[in-house]
Amino acid sequence: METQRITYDDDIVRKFIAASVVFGIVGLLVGLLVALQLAFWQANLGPYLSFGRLRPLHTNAVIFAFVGNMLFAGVYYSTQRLLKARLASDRLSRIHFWGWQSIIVAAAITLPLGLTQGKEYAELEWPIDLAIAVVWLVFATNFFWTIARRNEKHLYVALWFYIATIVTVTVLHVVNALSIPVSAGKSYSVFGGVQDALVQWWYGHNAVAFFLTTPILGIMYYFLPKAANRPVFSYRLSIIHFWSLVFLYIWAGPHHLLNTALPDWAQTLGMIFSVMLIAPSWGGMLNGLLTLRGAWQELRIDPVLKFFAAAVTFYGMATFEGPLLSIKSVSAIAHYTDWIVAHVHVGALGWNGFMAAGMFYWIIPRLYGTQLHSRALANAHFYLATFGILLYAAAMWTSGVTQGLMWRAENPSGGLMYPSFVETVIAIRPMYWMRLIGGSLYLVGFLMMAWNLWLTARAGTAVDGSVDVVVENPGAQPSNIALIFGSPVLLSVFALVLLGAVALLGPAGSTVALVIGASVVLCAFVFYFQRDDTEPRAKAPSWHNLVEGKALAFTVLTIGAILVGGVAEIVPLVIAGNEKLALKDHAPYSPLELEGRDVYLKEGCYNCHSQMVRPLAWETARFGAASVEADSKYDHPFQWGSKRTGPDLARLGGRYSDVWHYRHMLDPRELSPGSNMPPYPHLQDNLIDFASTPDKLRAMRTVGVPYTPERIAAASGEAEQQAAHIVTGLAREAGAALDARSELVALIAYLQRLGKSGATDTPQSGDAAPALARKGGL
Amino acid sequence: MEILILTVFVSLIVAAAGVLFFAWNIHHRAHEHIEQLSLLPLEEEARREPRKDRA
Repeated sequence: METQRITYDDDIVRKFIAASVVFGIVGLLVGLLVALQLAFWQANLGPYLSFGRLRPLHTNAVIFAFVGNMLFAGVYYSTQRLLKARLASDRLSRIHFWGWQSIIVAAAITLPLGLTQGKEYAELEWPIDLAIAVVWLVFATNFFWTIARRNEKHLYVALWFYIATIVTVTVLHVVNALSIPVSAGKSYSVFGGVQDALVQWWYGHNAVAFFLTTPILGIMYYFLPKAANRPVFSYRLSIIHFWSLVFLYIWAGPHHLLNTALPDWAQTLGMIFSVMLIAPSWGGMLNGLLTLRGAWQELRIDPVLKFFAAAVTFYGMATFEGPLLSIKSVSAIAHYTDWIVAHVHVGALGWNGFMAAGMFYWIIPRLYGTQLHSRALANAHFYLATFGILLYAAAMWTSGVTQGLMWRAENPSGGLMYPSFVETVIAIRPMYWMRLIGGSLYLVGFLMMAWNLWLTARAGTAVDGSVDVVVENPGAQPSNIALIFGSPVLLSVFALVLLGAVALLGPAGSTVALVIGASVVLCAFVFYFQRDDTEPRAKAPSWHNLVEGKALAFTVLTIGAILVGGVAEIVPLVIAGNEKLALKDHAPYSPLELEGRDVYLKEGCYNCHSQMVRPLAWETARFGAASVEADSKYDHPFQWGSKRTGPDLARLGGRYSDVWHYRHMLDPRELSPGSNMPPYPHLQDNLIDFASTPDKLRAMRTVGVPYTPERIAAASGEAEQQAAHIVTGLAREAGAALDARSELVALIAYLQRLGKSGATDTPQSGDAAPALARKGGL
Repeated sequence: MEILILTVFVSLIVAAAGVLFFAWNIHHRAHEHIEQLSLLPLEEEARREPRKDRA
């Protein structure tokens, strides 16, 4: 037995906090700009700063730069103290920090340039995806290496959430980012259509779960007791909270795809697990709030506790609203509307933003050996930001409900009451201005915090925490294998197999399975209790107690818990989906249409337009026949979208003439007065190099799109021929002098193909449609 | 109606499993270690030292 002094690496914590504050300001500023663009289209400042390219920058900056840096700071600070060990490698910590900042800078450059994979929250192109994987691996290595060198046997609950975050984000990122590169700045997802939709939202939802929630819950479990100076309300509840949350969350992704062409069984699974999620979520919320029991009076004076209490409350609100929105009938109204925007911002600004603020206000004085510069300023920040969030959320809730009701409203004769989509855009514009005010208040509060923290740091000197630890021989330990195959695990696996049998066998078979299962469980319990009578185990540690001391066993069990849901949902669809769809008659995009689709992705059109007509009467009346799986069979990635600032485009092909599209892209308001769509005149001048078109078809063939070698070889000529046909028509009808290689021509070709099989009617062109028909939009 | 019977039956089984699991936990004295563990974050640091490069 010996005593050692451990000095923590707090410099890396200071670095991550500084980066989080800086990128938080950037992310919020970009958010304000995109909010302004929706209310005032003139704020679209040219191609690089248009809404479609900036909105991914906003989401990436807030999620991965602001919250990412904040969670790394919180994880590194608390992990060292909970393990009584300095981070394993200073070098890995620095590589992690500078690598992550490099990725953020790369994102800030490439996204405005239009280099994107076109998948929400996973827009970054494959070289950056590779860098993310490497840096995340560095983080994981540093974390688990520190665990291996720890001087505290037990892993506190916060560390469980960090472990779940690290392993799950690894799995999600690797699977969702699988793609075939075409060039350094272009790749196609290996998944297509409905499969890509499921994988993308399995990733997208769980990015929220395991990047924005579980690490922040870990931070809550560490910093909230520290700030309140009292232990967490119930450690038992935290055990239930952890396992139920990580097991249930991973199944919930399909709630983003309710009423779509996703198979019903997957939708139902997503809905049921989402509704069940309210139990662990509220268990965690109550565990956090009740930690403050006996300290409520501190809320009046302590800004740190104010932020933490409000953050946990916002978490509770968001996790009540989430399951509500995941009910199919509620989703029918709320999906694609601003209601979802309100929901995610309550989570991002309220839960993540306030947890970050509370943590920064608590930690910075300690990292600089001083007091917070101004409590009054921090309190002012709290009230300003709270009012800003409420204003923001109220505006978007109102806007979302308005949209949902207007889209479905019928007139007395059964037709659509608001047949022109742009009517709904005009109706919600005041709400967009109100949202802008709310967001501005939040940004002002954030700037006040940055100023307060800066003055606090300047008033002190950077100090690193240290602790004296007694290094003990841990003695005999149970093996990892014995813990991984312990009775609670086997019982859980048995229960899952039983439930699977119930789901698959039908009423009679499932009843028999349940009876057998119940009998087995009953016999096992009887046997167990009888055995205990003869072998008293009063002093023996519990199974979970042992697992908490064995990081490897804990990590393996966590991986098992998070893999069940993903495998159960994705694997059947990937296997069965291919066989089923292979029988359909559906031609791949022509080379020019494929080029046009890349323009669609580059401009971020999916940020405002869906391509998924749901089988709801008011949707089919407005947009045409409901979408089916085959419609997006060759879409790598899928483009179903998640928001309708503009109308759905799934059945757009042939509804308007080429001339209509040409004039609409140059000046949307000429044909749709009141529209807030940015103009795209630069697409006339941007030219496509058709010499690289065969490479794109080749990559698509690799992921399963049936282009023949002959067609690939002739792709450049075919594209030029189709483009020449469109250009000739535009010159004749509108007197337009367009280069056949211009991106605008390719985009028109793509838009005219949407909703058509392409099997018999190539080249796709809307020349047959009446010129400038249906003025006023869909 | 078949689905209703099945739903009620599954619910009863799940509820019974929950009661049994609770009984197992009580009997096994699982999680009795926890009150001590919840104090882990509250341990104070020995001291704070100036960063080496500034000392």
